[in-house]
Parts: sequence; structure tokens; C-alpha cells
Amino acid sequence: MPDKKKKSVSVIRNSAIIKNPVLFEAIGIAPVVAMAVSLKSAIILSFVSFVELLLIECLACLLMKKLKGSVRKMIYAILGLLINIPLFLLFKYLAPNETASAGIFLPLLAVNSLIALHCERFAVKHNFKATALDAISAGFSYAAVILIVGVIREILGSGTVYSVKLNIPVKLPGLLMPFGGFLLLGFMAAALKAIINRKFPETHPEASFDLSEVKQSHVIKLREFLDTDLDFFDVGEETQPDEKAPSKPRTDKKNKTSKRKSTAKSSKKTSASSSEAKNGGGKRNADKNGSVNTERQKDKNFDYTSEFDEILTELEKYKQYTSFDGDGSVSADGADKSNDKESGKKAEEPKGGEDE
Amino acid sequence: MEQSKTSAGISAESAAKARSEISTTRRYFADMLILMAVPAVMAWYYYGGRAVRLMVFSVLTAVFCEVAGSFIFKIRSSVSDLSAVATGLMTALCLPASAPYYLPCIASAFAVIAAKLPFGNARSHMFTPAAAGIAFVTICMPDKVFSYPAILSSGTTAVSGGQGFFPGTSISYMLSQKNSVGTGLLNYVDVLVGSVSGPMGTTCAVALFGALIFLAVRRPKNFTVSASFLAVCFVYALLFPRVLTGRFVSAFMEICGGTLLFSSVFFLTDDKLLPKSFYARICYGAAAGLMCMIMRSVGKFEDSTVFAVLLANGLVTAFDKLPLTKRERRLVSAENAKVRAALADKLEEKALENEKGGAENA
Amino acid sequence: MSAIANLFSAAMYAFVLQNLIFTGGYGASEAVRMSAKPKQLFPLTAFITFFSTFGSIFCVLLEQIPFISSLSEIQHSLIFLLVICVLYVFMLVLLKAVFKAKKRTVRRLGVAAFNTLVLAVPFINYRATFGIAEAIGVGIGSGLAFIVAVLMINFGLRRLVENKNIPECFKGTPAVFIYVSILALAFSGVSGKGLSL
Repeated sequence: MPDKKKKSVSVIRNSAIIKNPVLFEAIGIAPVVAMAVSLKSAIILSFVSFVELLLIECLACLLMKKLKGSVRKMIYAILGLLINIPLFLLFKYLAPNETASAGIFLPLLAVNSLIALHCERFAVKHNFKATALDAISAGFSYAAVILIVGVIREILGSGTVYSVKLNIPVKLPGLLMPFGGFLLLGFMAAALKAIINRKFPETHPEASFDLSEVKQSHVIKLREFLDTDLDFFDVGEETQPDEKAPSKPRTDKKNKTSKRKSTAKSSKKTSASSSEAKNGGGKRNADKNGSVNTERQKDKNFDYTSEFDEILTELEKYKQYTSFDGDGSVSADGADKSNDKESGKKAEEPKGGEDE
Repeated sequence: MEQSKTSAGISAESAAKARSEISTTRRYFADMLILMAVPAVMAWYYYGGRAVRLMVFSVLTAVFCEVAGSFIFKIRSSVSDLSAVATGLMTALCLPASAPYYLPCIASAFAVIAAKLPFGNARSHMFTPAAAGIAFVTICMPDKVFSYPAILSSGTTAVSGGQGFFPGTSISYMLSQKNSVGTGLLNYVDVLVGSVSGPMGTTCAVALFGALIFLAVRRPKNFTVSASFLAVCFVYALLFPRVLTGRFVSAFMEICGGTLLFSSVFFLTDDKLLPKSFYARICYGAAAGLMCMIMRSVGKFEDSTVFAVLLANGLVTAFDKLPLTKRERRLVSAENAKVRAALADKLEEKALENEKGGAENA
Repeated sequence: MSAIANLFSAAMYAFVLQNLIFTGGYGASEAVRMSAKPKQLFPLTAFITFFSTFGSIFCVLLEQIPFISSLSEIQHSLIFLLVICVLYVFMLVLLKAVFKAKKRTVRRLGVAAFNTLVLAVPFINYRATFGIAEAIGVGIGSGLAFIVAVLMINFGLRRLVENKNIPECFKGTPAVFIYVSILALAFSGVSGKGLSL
């Protein structure tokens, strides 16, 4: 029983806070940035979204597990609109002005990505109780974000709260535009992340937003630059820099730093220099003493110690993150906690959540 | 013991690297402050004490936001690199002297808190902070941003819309209404020396051309962007004039109107937002110029230069994909070879150490 | 000739003057999420352009039927969604049966079909009472707007990933949102005067 309670708490915590759908997973942004410009419209938006999410997730859990994913996505949209219509009529009766000002966004809530993602990720893979918990917690967290964004934008943008005028000396109507919504989401996400880092330091909310493909392209660029003949993965796990490295400051560090990260094309074109590097810096086996190029050793004007830290840290992260296949392709693997001593960064977990 | 020595070594070297980067940034912003001195003096000359107060408030707000924001976001404050001071001054100089005191404060606060600190510091920001600040207040309060005081002999300027405020007509407004300076309404010399209504630091074209010459001599890489930007704006104005009194009049007005010249010197030349290669910088400046002129023609505001600057900042990575010149390629490949070779040596030494360590353990 | 001019001006309107993603917010979450997955960029943007353009065309054609044009906005929303569903099924069959597409590509189809951007386009046409030429233009323009948005956000993500100075609390989506907000601010400077439609 206590295990079940812990599991429920964990589901709620994950859905609502650690993997907040809007703030960390970037799901369902459109209605928030475009429609949540006042408290009244935020209330309508949050209520409709919550009801839609709850009903569709429960229906998906109960009835749609055996259907194909491609068919389910269509059904979510149709169900969303069918649920939307009576709610739309209800709000049209209760608050006609606000419903009219919502424009086309109320019907667009039917295709809110929040619903499809949560249903595919959770509802069709778990039991009813867990699904209901997930729907309620995600729905509440989504609603909370919308309400906070709506209130702040109304106060700062219109100088009112629930249409009640406040005596604010300066109004910023620009915040009522979508860029204001994005800006507020950014700061809210930062604030929540700071709270999470303090209260739940073992969790990593940034892992909810999958940047692995972008990071891979950055690391692939680095590998191409460093010449793939160098077999980094047999060398060892130490990432300590060389103590005896020359400590004279570089004269042209700025150019070096910027040019080191130049495109792979420019590094590939330099066959002469790469062959020179290969002669001195090709694949090195442990038993070789190494015929070190005297020119390089005597080049005391350049200090690469700090560059090594950065390069080796990147390689270490890359090594932990991917496994290097023989044909040069990379595949995602489970990640160990990276050990970045310089910046004291926390470990990065692998991407979470369902692929869209 | 060795590890702690090494850690101390790493921290010492990282600190040295950080200090060197800060001093590079400080030199850049010191240059910018020197260049802004003349426009600031001209703003005081035309608009009196109000202009100075606006500049002071803007700078103080920027510095305060830098310190407070660094404390809240838990990053090291970098006020010493003068970026906050330069941002505050740039923001103030792009606003009218009749702006309420809170306007440059809001612009500076946005520039630092929203456009700079979330991305780190002046060495890692993604957009020109001052341009973002001006863009923000332009969207929020366009009537205050584009309401300029007339140049009065008394030298006192009142807040726009307030008592004693005399509105003037800026060149960018004249262009939007297709009115030309060539009809004798304005003296060309007045336009060059800044005796026309407009943002308080951007109207003195002579000072800004002097700043361009300074850039050409002292920072030729930054000047490349300015030159290509101005060239494209000039050619566009010649080809698609918005006034009917001649193409050169049109080009003259477009270059001297609004914040175009000021942006070419201060916004587009941000050291950390420049593409790396020569061709990329040319294309970057040209693209910014084209976007600026198109936005001026079809955009909502009489002057949309800052929006074009922000869009160009967003495209820096795209321009980096352009090919390098021969000389740049030689330099880059030589550097790459050195780093590659040095890394290979280091990895070999580590492999030997690991072997030794493994043998000892065995 | 005027039809082509209308098509072009409507496309420019949706693409630049009122960029649907940055100044309208439509399809924002798809744009942000897909910008982090550059490998699937081409099929997704192609699908979105297909659905927005053909959805636009068919919805406008159906609008010519007097019975349908007399319906309320809620009923219109049902019709728009049904048109998109039909297009989705057609594309699904085409991909699976004819092109033997991979599972990942087929998964992208669902995202491309059912999002706020694709469903917003017929609404925009309906409210602005656009003809067929303008509808095609808005459909193409929205696809282009999505491509531009994803590319620009992707450029920013590459720089954000390499940026080691971002404060801890801003790493991940907070910095992405702030970056997108300033891009949206830049696009907001364009919208307003517009071309005549």
C-alpha cells in the first residue's frame, strides 16, 4: 500500500512538476501564448483543456489500447472537438464576450498536442487509475500555468484583473502578443526549475526536452574535426589535464577558439595538414612510445591545456552518451552521470517521453 | 594531493581564461563607449539636461539589473566588462529626448534581464541586448518611442504629451509619408549635424560617420558588417525610393533617418554576434540591410531597424556555413592541425599513464 | 493574373507579415519540438505544407456549397476537421501502401495533420472569406512559415547547446522559450501594415 501511494505520488510529481507539459516539454504552447491574455480567457482555456485531457485520456485507456497509433491520433482530434462543442456552447452562454475574444482558439484546443502526447505516452500503456492520476495532475499543472500566465499578462498588459481596473502607472501591451507569452513561459520555467533543483536535486527536468539530435550534430562536428582515426574510447577514463602542459598564455586565443570549431568541410579540405597530424597524431597504441613531432613540442607559444579540458569533457560526455558503431554510425545509449568537475554540472539523463 | 593540485591548476587556468575574455570584452565595449561619446554630447547640446538624465537613468537601470539579475540567476556578475553601461547608453540614445524617464529604464531592464542574462553574459548572448530593449518598448509604446521633440533654441525639452512639449518631424516619419528633405523644408547640413528631430543619439550623421571610420581603422572585421549593411541600404534606397525628389535624396534620407546609421555602428557589430568568416560577415550585413529596408517599406513602424537587427542575429549560424576565404582556410587548418596533434600527444601520454597504473595495480 | 497576385500576397501575408507561428502562436509547440529533431524536419514540414494547402483548398471549395456556408462556426469546425481527417487517411494509405514509409515517418504524419497550425488555416480562410487563390496562398505560406520557424529555432538551439554560460535555471526549455520570444518580437515588428488582401 505504501508502495502504491509512493508510486501515485511519483506519477503526480512527474506529470505535474518534473515533466510539466508546457514548461519543460514544450507541449500545448499555442493556446497559452496566443489565448491566455486575461484571467477570464485563461479560466475558459484551462477548464476546457482539463476536461478534454481527462476524458480523452480515460477513454484512450479504456477503449483504444488495441487500436493502431495512427488511427488513435485521428480519434483524439475528433473526440476533442466533440467534447469541445458543448463546452464552447456553455461558455458562450455564460461568458459570451470572453468566448468571442477567444477567437478560433477554443476549437483549436481539440488538436492540442498535450492530449495526443499524454494519451500515447501514458494512457495506452498504463492502467486506468494511473492514467486518471496522470490526466488530473497534467491537467492541473497545465491549467495552473495558463492561469498564472493569463493573470500576469492581464495585469502588466491591460492594467486590469478580471476586468477590474488596477491603478498601474505603466502598461506593457506588448506582453499581450505571443512573444510576451513565450517570455513569461521562459521565466516561469526557469523559476520552477530552480525550485525543483533545490527540492528534488536528483531529478533533471531539462531531460524532458530532447536535445540529443542537436547535441549529436555538435559532437559529430567535434569528432570530424578531431579526426576519427583517433580511437578515444580505448585510451582511458581520466579527464584530468596534463599538469606539465606549457602554461604560457596564447597570443591569439580568440582566433583559435573560434576557428577550432569551424566546419568539418574546412578541416576535411586540409589534406596536407591532416596528413601531418596523422603522421604525428594518428592512431596511437598504448605500447608505442610515440614518435612525437619535435616541431609541436617546441611550439611553446601555444597553450592547449584549457582547450583539452573542453575537448576531453565533450568526448567523455559523447562516450557516455553514445556507443560508437564500427560503420561510423552512432546509436543512443543509456547515459551514465557525466563527471564535469570544472563546472560542477549535474548529470544528464537520456531523453524522456514518447517520440512524437 | 595531485588531483587537488590539478584541480587548482584547472581553476587557475579557467580563471585566467575568463579574465582574458572579460578584458577582451571590456576593450570592445570601451571602444563603443568612446564612439558613443560624441552622439551623447550632441544629444546634450540639442536637448539639454533632460537628455543627460535619461542617459544616466538608463545606464543605472542596466547596471542595477545586471547586478540583481546575476544574483538571482546565480551567475557571476560581469559589470566590469562595461557591457551593461554600453547597453544602457545605447538604449537611451535610440529613444527621443522627450521620452518619459521610465521608458529607457524599461528598455534597459528588458535588454539586460530578457535578452542578455538568460544566455549568460556579454560573451554568450544570442541577440544584441540594446536592440531587443528598443524593440520591446517600440512594440509596447510606439507613440512614445516615435514622438520626437522639435529642436528648440532654448535647449529645454519637455516630456512628450506634457506641458511645454513641442513635437518635431523626424526624417523617418517624412519618409513614411513620402515627404522629402529635397523640397527645401530641411537643410542638408542640419541633417548631417543632427539639427533635426529624431532619436537623441542617432541624428548627428557626421558623428556616426566618424565612428564608422574609427571602426574601419580599429576593428576592420566589425566594419565589414557595417559597410555591407550600409551599402545594401543605399542601393535599395536608390532602386526603390520612397520619395519623389530623386534617388540620391532618398538614399540620403534613408541612411540618415531613424536608427539605421546608429545600428550599423553599434548593434550589428557586436563582437560575439559576428559570423566568423569574411564572406559570412558580408552576407550577414547585406541580409540585415535588405531586411531593414523591406521592413521600413511594409512594416508597421516608421523605423524597423532594430527588428531587422534581431532577425539577423538569429541567422548568424546560417551565415557561418558559408565558405571561408583561402587565407582563412589556411589559418584554420594550421590551427586545427596543431590542436589535433597536441591532443593526440596528450591522449598518448594518458594511455601510457593508464598502462603504468594498470601494471602497478596488477 | 490577379489570381496569382492574390495567391502571392496571401502567401507573403501568412509567411512574413503575420508569420503564423511567431505572431499568431499557431503550431508553436510543434515548431519548438521539431526544431530539436532536425533529422525529421523535411518530412514533417512537407506534410504540414500538404495538409495546410490541400485542407485550405478543400475547405474553401466546400464553402461554395450554399448549405455548408450557412452553417454555424462550430459546425464549420467539424467540417474542417473532417476534411483534415480524410486527407490524413489518404496520405496514410499512400505512405504505407505505395511508398512503404518507415514507422517514424508515419508517426510524423499524425503530428503534421492534427496541430493548431493546420486547423487554423481553414478558419483564417473562413473568417477572411478568402477565395481559392488566397486559400492556396495561405496554405503554402503557412507551410513556409513553419519551415522558417523551425530552421530559425534550430539555429538557436545549436548555439544554446554550445553555450556553457547559460545559468543553471535557464538550461533547457527556459532559454529556448526566451530565444523564441525574442524571435517572435522581431517578427512582431513586421506585422501590421501588410499588403492589400
